[in-house]
Amino acid sequence: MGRYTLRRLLQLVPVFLGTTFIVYVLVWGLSDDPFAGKCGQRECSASYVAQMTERYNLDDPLVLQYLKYLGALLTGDFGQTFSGTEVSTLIADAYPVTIQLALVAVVIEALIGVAAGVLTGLRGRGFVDNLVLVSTLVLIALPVFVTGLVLRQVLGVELGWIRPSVPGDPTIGQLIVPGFVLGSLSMAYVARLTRTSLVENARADFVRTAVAKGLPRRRVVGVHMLRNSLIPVVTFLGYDVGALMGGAIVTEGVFNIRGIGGLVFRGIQQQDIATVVGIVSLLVVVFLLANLLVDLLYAVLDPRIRYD
Amino acid sequence: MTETAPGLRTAGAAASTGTGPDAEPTGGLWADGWDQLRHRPLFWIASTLIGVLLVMALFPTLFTSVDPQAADLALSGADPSPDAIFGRDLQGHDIYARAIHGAAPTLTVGLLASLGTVVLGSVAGLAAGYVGGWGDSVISRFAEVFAGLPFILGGIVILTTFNKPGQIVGEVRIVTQVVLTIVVLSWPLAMRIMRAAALEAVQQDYVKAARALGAGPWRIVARHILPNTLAPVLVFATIQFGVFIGAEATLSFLGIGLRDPVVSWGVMISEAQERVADIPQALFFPAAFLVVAVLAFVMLGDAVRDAFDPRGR
Amino acid sequence: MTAVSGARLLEVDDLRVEFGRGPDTAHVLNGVGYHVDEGETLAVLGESGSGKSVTAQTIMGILDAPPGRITGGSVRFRGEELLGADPERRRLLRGESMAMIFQDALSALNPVYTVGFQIAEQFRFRRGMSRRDAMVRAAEMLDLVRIPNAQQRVKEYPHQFSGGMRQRAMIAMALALDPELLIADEPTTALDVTVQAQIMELLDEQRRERGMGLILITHDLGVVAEVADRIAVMYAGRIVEHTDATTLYAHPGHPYTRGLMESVPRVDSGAGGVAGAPLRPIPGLPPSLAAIPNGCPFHPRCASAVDVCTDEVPPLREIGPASATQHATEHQAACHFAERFAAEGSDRPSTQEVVSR
Repeated sequence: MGRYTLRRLLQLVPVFLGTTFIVYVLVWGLSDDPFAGKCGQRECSASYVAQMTERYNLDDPLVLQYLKYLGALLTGDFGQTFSGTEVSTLIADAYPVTIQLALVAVVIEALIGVAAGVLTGLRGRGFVDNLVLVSTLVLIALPVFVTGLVLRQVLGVELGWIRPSVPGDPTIGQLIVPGFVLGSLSMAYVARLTRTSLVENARADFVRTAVAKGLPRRRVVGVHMLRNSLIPVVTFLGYDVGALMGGAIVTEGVFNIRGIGGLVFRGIQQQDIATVVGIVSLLVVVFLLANLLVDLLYAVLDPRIRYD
Repeated sequence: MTETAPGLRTAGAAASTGTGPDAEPTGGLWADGWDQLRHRPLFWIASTLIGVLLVMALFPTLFTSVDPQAADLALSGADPSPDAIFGRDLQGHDIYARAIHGAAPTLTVGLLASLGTVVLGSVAGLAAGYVGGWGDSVISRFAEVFAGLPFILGGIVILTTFNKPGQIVGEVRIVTQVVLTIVVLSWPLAMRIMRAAALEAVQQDYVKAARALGAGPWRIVARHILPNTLAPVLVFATIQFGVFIGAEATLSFLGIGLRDPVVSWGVMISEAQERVADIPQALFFPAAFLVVAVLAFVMLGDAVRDAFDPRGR
Repeated sequence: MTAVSGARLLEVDDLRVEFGRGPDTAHVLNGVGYHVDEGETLAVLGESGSGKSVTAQTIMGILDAPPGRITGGSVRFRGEELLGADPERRRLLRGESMAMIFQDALSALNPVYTVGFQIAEQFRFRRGMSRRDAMVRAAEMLDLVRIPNAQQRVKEYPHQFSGGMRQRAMIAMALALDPELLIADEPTTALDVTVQAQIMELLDEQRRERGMGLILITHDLGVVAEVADRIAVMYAGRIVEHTDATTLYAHPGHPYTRGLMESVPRVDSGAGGVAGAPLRPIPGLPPSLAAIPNGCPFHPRCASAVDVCTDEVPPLREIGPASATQHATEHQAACHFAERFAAEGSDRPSTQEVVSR
């Protein structure tokens, strides 16, 4: 296990370098004039340009720029925005909300998705099964921003149950509807995955063995069917935490949540390159580490996977 | 079919193909799949919807004679009426006409993006799975670089690099950019499916036998690996078609994808979101079209997968 | 070999099971009947698809329904009718009174729990033992089936066991609650020949020590020869021949049984000099269970078939001893010409020769 973890960590290095390099090149290397529009209507002053060129090492070749940036990043220095704010401060302010939102979303999708999947998977065909199947199809077909806009309009504006715009330091309760919106697509996948997995396992030989041993029905279902069936579901949820932490841009936009998604979106609109590269690098690391953790978790859940 | 007991295999095979013992035993995977598919209402509903959407995209004038760009500010936000059955948006456009004309760009992006993803992903996946070893590692790591970028984030970075926010870009250029962005960010998925299938096929005895008999790599890939991987990739492509339509709309919604003068459902939703309280019809109708279109492709993909891989149902 | 030993344990009568519906309905069991007594081994012999396993699953009450459907017959355990009995009553019989081991121990054991856990489960949920006591008992069971280092191996997962060890663990699990009847469904098919013999020996030894009834389902004549008291041959969901092992080998009364024997290769050169006897595989394939032929289901593959075979279903009937040297045991066969075939005897080796190969 230890060796496997190490190997996987080493595999992450080129992926991390590749992804961040691509992003770095896209935002720095391909913009012909990084200072366009930075100083209002006027040309930027020579001293400002010199200062910024110094700060971002713009005179160096692109690869060297990137390496210098990376070096700073590894010491925890995310750099500064054009206006001089530390990017790390921005991240520290914005990230907690995004993490909360992602966790709320995963909890909601896990609860509803697994419940729906188990209900239909154990019962087999029938009305509930069809209802859930159609619901998952609709959820998959609904883009997040449509769900978000509709719920914001209906629950927030028409019914007044929630605030259409989430305040700066939201409570968990205020994040429930945005979390539902964010997790709705995955919820559908969780429900389907649980159902398929249960149906497959219900016919597995080891379930028949458990029945043949004369175990109580609850034990057969709870211990032999569910545990095996939920392994892929847990893995999916794990990957999803990683994905949601970087994918909440739309939901945060719709509900006006001041999280990391909004930050990166504003950074791009304002051409604040340091912010964008910093956040994207961070999100990539989070995403990759989440995937690694899930792989390790999988080994714990399914003893057949032997990595050494 | 169940594998209740080894002893039931004969019975099961006969029951699943629906042929008697004297008839042709099975018609092969494709015939079986089609036989399954024919009996699924979901498949027919989805196909009909897709057919209507295609006609809408190819011949929008069959449905409406109104110019989607004709705007009358005096009629801004008008409610549905015989004149404009879905009402009018903020600019006074006829929403019905725009929704009809929105089908073509939306479906074009979906089609090109899923084609591109499948072609690029399949080639990479086949190469990785067939070559194995170092080649596999290099291609896999390379794919992970792109898979490591969350979709929307990656889309924002790429599209804003090539078009400054608010910049006016031509129709063909922006469609191409959106398609390429989706392909670049999504091909690792198709690659993984193809790679897994190829890896499995390479392990099969008949492929080893073909190799031992001196069949070249092209022949093995074309004759032995591709046919076995086609079904999962086809299902993937169908479902992704729907997903990519949604992705296009999301990018448009964020103001970085398709934009005026292109009319797509995503563009319409994006324009409508500011005034959704006053002019709900401008959001509702394009959103409904969008959802139905995505639903149709996802349902079709579902039906095809169930037909070819009956384990799930 | 004894024909009758203890009291009657299990009695299956005219059992009928179908799979599916409509014109494609597969008639998997068409009136199967057999019985097992205490301490006795009944071998059920037949090709894949003959209904051996479905019969066993129906007895255990673990038939997947749907798609399976019991349409008639009876299964009595110590005189108690099981078909239609309260499901909870049947559950309590499983493990306690009757247990089953499966062909593929790897898929029959849950991959995500340790072997010990899966054996201990029965002690915990059927005997109310604590987790720790149950684990100790599980280790004892592994020791009983001669798994070396049992203390250590209870904590291992099924995939860490070799094929033979897994099957031993499966046997330990089946024996945990000391059942009166053990059904072994092709217990050695997936194993190496050397391991096969060890497993058979273990099963036979446990049967003797516990005085339990054993139903041994197999398609392998060689496996059966040594241990079976009686043999029931199945074809297309029916019993086509039933007698003690000696009689069956010496005087097969059904051409199908004879066919099975003639398709077993011989490598030794026994005293009879039959080693060079040509292999005569049974022509054709078993019938589709959705379209079983009229008359005798075996007639399309039978070299001796005449008109009556295509018209009339031969019932399973007593044909009596074929020769004076034979014990006066029961011998039933479902062939119109069973007496003739039995009298002809087999040109194949005797039981002992088959055993010694």
